[in-house]
Order: sequence, then structure tokens, then C-alpha cells
Amino acid sequence: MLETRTQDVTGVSPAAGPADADAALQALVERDLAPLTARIDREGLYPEDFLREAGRLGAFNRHLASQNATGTTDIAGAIRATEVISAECMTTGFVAWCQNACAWYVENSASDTLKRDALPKLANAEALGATALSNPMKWFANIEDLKLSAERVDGGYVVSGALPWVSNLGEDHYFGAIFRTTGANPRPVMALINCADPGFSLTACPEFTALEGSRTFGCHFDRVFVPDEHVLADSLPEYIRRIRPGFVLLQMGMGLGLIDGCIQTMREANETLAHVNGYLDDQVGELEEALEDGRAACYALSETPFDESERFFADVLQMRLTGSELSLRASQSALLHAGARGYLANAAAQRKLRESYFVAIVTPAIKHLRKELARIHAH
Amino acid sequence: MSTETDEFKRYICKVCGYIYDEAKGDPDSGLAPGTRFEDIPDDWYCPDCNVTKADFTALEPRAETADAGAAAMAWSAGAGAADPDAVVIVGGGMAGWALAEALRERDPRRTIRLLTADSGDYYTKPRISNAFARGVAVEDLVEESGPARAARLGIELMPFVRVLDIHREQQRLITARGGVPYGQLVLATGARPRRVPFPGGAPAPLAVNTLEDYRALRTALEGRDGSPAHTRVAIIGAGLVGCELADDLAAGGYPVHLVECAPGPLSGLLPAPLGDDLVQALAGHGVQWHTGATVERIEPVAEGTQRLALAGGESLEAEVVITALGLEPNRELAERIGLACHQGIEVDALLRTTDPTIFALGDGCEFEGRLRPYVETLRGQAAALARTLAGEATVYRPDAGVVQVKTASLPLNVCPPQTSGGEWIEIASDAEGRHLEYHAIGQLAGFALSGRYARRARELETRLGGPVADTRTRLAS
Repeated sequence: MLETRTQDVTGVSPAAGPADADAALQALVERDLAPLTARIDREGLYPEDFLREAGRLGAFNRHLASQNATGTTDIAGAIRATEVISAECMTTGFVAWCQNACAWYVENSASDTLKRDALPKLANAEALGATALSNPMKWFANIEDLKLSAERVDGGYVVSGALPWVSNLGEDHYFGAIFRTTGANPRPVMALINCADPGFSLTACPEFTALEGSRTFGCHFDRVFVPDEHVLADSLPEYIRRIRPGFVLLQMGMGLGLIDGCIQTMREANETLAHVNGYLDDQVGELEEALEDGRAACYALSETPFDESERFFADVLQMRLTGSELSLRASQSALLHAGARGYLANAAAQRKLRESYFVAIVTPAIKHLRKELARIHAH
Repeated sequence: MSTETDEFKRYICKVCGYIYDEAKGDPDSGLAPGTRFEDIPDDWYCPDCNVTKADFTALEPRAETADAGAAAMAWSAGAGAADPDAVVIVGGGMAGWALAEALRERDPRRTIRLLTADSGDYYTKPRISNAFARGVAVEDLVEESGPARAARLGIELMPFVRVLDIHREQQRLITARGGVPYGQLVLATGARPRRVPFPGGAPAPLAVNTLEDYRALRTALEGRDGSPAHTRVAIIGAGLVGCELADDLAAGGYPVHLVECAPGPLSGLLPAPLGDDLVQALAGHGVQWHTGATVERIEPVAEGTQRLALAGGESLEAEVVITALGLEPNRELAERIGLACHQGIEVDALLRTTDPTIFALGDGCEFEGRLRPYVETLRGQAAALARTLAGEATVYRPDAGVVQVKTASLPLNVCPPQTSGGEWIEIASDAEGRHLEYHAIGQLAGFALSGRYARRARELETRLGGPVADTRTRLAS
């Protein structure tokens, strides 16, 4: 049986929330990340130094039983670390999730080569990684076709095609990608790609409305050779059933952290505006209660990340949906609490508003989640 | 070449979804409005993702396919205007709904909220057991949709919600849809079929406890080609559910094997003569009995066919395998939050758990050291608990525990004695059934009725505990 986390290494119960659970990461966020948040958002500064340092502190290995000191799959711990980061800067929280997801793929793969060579580096952010599964996830839900295809060659595959925007990429970053094989026995196969692989190129994307510092690029595969040792999964349905609850749950750190940050913004606004903010919907107390409910549910689901049942995955998707809806409510209320000062170009409130829409549209988006839940709940 | 009179067309980038509209062109890249797609030079790149025009395709707007059901589902977070004094019922089976209905009758105003992991559609579970004989389709087993029943009773239904945790101090349920506060909480979480893994590599046998399970069984049975005669069914376990299903599927024309490790069916419940009668009645409808037999392995042998290897060397083949090995109370949630549990969730005479704000009823609860997974029981519990929750503390008094066995071939009503030291007495016996009574210390302590005598149950129930004249034929025990 899977050893699941009940307490993190510092002995703080998960329900105590991120503020108590991770003082060292919190201090790093305040010292190194907070001064850069506006530049990350507006100028596209990539928080690389922060990521490397957070990795050294163990922010990205908690869900990797083979790579952390406790030997447990501590999904809740990984979520809490992402919460601490996202409460300050959700761009960085998002790339933290990318990093976590990439390592999660390798941890659960059958590739000993990647587990030996890539995983330890991904676990401490010596190597940086990304997830290019937006397209395949939409493919699984019958929303899009697969955009990459591959020919079988001696010792591996030759992959061609393009993906529109993949985040947390750089010249030597890893990412997980799914392509469809052609020829005999056509099927989806997942592999770990390195941006330095010959034939692979990145192209700049148009400017986004937020998350500019997430190093998001178009990915072009021009006959990229992928050796068999880099295949994460050939029997894809089984593999996806295994990784998907963790994949989605790990995203919850973004929404929960964002909501926490919104509540902080509201508190700050209330220091001077409480007499009028009391007329708004979604007060601090209500959102705090909803946040604690969301955390409790999310950490409870995190106890069984390898439950492959559809019923459990429906709960995970519902959790993700609830997180998106609550993120939108919280950011809207944060901006209304802050008023005109929150509307300044450098203000946290308007940034969090834009970030919250990212939570709601990044795969799986609200509409995607509702489509999946409707399918699962239909007879 | 196209001419100016052609309508402008639109092309979509397959990679990023950018739409090239011939009417608008792409002036930033030097393509004037009106530039035809075919006239775009090959070195032009998608302005959003840099692929070439080879990755574009003519835009064909997709039809709207979101089905009405999805759109109609209520997606609001739900718990916003939550009433902290609400009675919250966890579980939408017969017990949960019976309580909601009884409580609403007693208290027209109290907020009642019912959370259920399924759709909340209402059905009477025992009707599943004889749906074939009565020619009832699965859909027709639903007597009322969940939303309709909730609206009629004036309660709030939260379907497709599983309770992940309970914060007892805050009186709050934790779900993936948010927190739900409660004033009083009722666990009607029921029981699930006991599952036993069999070696041999065959898919896990079906088990039938919910309408969903039953739908899966009907699909397995009816999804095969040909007449029912070509779909052999093996049922492992000749308890209540196993016997009822065997009888009903035989009535539906399916060849049925019924495997039971005890020497006879419903062991521990039926006195021997009635057990023998039941074996004969079912056999008369084509059920093949394998009593005193244990399944050791289940192996796939051919497309859709499995072989059950029994201890001792016998084996049999079937296309559909069902286990009916009894029920296990769902007590994980109660255990998680530290409520006392034994076989089920322990409750006192007021159906209270060890937390005075949390109650339990139905198949999942254990009262006076016993599980009572029967419809009669949950109705009695719902009536008593509704009074208690409405402010009139009411002790639950268990019924006699008459078990109805709805085998159409030989209906049985059995009230197993709760005492030992007595003996079974035959009151009547003929070709159409039997009437047996259990007499202990000169009192009626139980009875077992079959066939045309089954309808005497009500009258005998009123006489339980009363004196009996000891003049009838004793049975060898």
C-alpha cells in the first residue's frame, strides 16, 4: 500500500495551512520573490533564481516518494508549497506546478534512465521542467485532436508537429509530451523531451494578459528523435489513470494560494476601508471559511493519490472546479475591496484578478471540467 | 485564381486556434485585407504561434453539442446561504430519503439537506430482486427523480457529492464542492457488497447493491448476442440477494448456477425443511445448485466466458459472474472522525452515535450489537429519528426482524429466533408451503413461513413473545 502523508516533516497538521507549515519557504518568498512580483507579471521576468533556491529548500520533492526524506507521496505538502508561492505571485506558483508535474511524470514512469538521470535534478530544481499535456488532456475529453505525431525508427521515435503554448521552458528544460504513433499499431505514447534535443525549437508567443514571466513558448518538433529510454509510458491509458489525480490535485496550490493572497489584499484594504467594504459580497470571513473548507477537502483527497476509480477522479475534478470558482469570487472581491488603488498598474488586486482567470482557464478549464463531470455523472 | 466576387473565407491554425480571415488579412505581416489564403506566401507564419500556412485548415464552425442535461445541472457552489441549524443527511438511499420524508412531515420548516454520491433518484431497492419476473426495465425502477422528490418534500438535494471529512467541532462537512454546516447530522451511508478477490485473472465479478450496479448487470446480460439461454450466469453466495437474483434471472430465461459454501441456502436463517424446499423450488425453475462448494479460481477461457474452479475439482462455465456474499457497512467516514464503530456505526436507543449531534440509521448502523439491513428496520428507525430530530426524543424500538425472501418460486417470511434452547415446530405443511414456529419456554420466539403460508407473518408477528400450546409435531433439529 501507498504510504500517504498524515503529517509533514515539521509535524504541523496539514489543516494548519501553509503559513505555519513552511516557514523557510515563506521567508524565501518574502525575501527573494516579493520584490520581483510586479516585474514577473508585467515585464516577463522569469523567476529562475527563486525556483532554483526553492528547489534546494525542498519545495518540489514532497510528492516524490523516491526523492524526499520521508519516502512518502506527500501531495498535500507539494500543494502547500505551491500555495505559499502563489499567494505572493501566481506566475511563479504556476511554474512551480509545471516543475512538480514534470517530475511526477518521471516518478511514475517505467524509465529507469530518466529516474536516474533526470528525476533527482528535477526534484531539486537543478533541472527545470514543464508539462505539455494541455492538448492531450483536451484530446482525452474529446475537445481537440492530438497535435504531435511520431514515426517508429530504430531505437525510438521521430516526432513532428507543434504545440501552441507550453510554459516553464528554456533551452535545456525538460517537458512531458504525448504524440500519436503512425504506421502499425497507432497509439498515443508519452515521452520526456529536452528543449536541447536536435530538431526542437521554441518560438515566442504573443503577449498574454498575465503570467508573462512563465516562459511560455510555442514548441516546434521537426523530426525530433526520442530514444526509447525517454519514453515515460507506452501503455498510456493505465499510466494516465495513475498520474491524473496527482496532476490535477497539484494544480490546487495555485488556486488555494491565490485565494489566500486575495484575502490578504482584502485585509489590507480593510485597514482603511472597512467602514464601506462591509457592504460588499464575499467578506473576509466568508472567503476564509470557504478557503479552509477547500484546503480540508483538497488535503483529504491528497491522501489517496493513486486511487484510480472514476468516482475519486470525479471528486478531484469537482475540487478543481470549486477552486476555480472560488478563485474568481475571491479576486473579484479583492479588487472591489481595494477600489481605485487596486486598479493601479502595479497593484496586487488587479494582478490577482488576471491571475484568477488563469486558474479558471488553464487546462482543465471550468468548461472542460463541467463537460467531464457531466459525462461522468450521466448514466 | 479566385475572383473578387467570391465570398471571403476563414482558415484556422490547427496548433493555436488563430483564425485567418481573408477579409481582414494580416496587415502586421504585410497581408492586405482581401488577401486570399491561397495567395499567402509560404514563408508567412501564424502571428500567434509561428507555424506555417500548412498547419491551417478551412474553418468549419462546430455545432453546439453541449447536451441539455449538462446545461441544466446546477453548478452553483450551493453552500453559500447555508443554514447552520440544518439537519444534514448523508446518503440518498432508502434510509436517507425515508428520514427526510418523515422529518418533513413532523417539521415543515426545518432546513433539511440531503447529500448523496449518486444522482439521488429514488428507487425501492428490494424491487431490483424481481425486476425480470415483473418485466420491469431499469429506468422504470426509478420511482421519482432526485430533484423532483426534493422539490416535493421541500428539502435541498446535493447530488454527486461525497463527504471527504467532517469537522465535528465546527459542525461542518468537507466536500469537493465546499463546506456544508450542520446543526444535526445523520449518517445514512448504508452498506456495500462484500467483495472477495478470486485468483485466476478473470475480471472482478459483478455485485448488485445499487441501481447503478443493477444497470451494469442488465448491460452485461443484455449486451450479449442471442437469447438469454446462451448467457450462463454463475452466482456465488446463496444468501438473500443470491437466491432472489438466481430465481429472477432463471425466470428471465438465463441458465443459472448458484454456488454456496454452506450445505444449503440462507444458512443460519432458514430451518432445514424450508432450505430444502427453496432448493427444490429454484431447481424447478432451472437453477443448478452447487452447495457445500467453494470457488477457488475464476479464469477467462474464451471471449466473454469464464471458468469457475470449485474446490474438489468440479468446475463450471459462465458468461456473467455475480458475487452475493453479504453486506459490509460503510463505516469509514464514521471511523475517520472517531465515532465508535463495531460491525457498523454504533448507535444508542435514540439512534445517536457517540457524538450527540450525529445520528445514524439504516444498513450502516449497529443497534444493540446487531446489524439490521432490512427495509422494515430503516422505516422504523426513520420514524423514531424524525420525532427525535423534531424535538420529541423518541426511543427506537426494533421490529421483530421479519426477513422477506422475495423468491417468486417460493416466497418466504422468516422471523429468526433471537434466543436458543427452543425448538422448531411444524404447524402446517403441504404442497403449497409450510408454517413453522420456534417455541422456547412456552413462548413463540420465531417463525418461518413459505408459499401460501407466508402471508401469516403479520399475524404471527403480533403473537411473538406470547404463549404457545405445545401440541404440534417437533422437527428433528
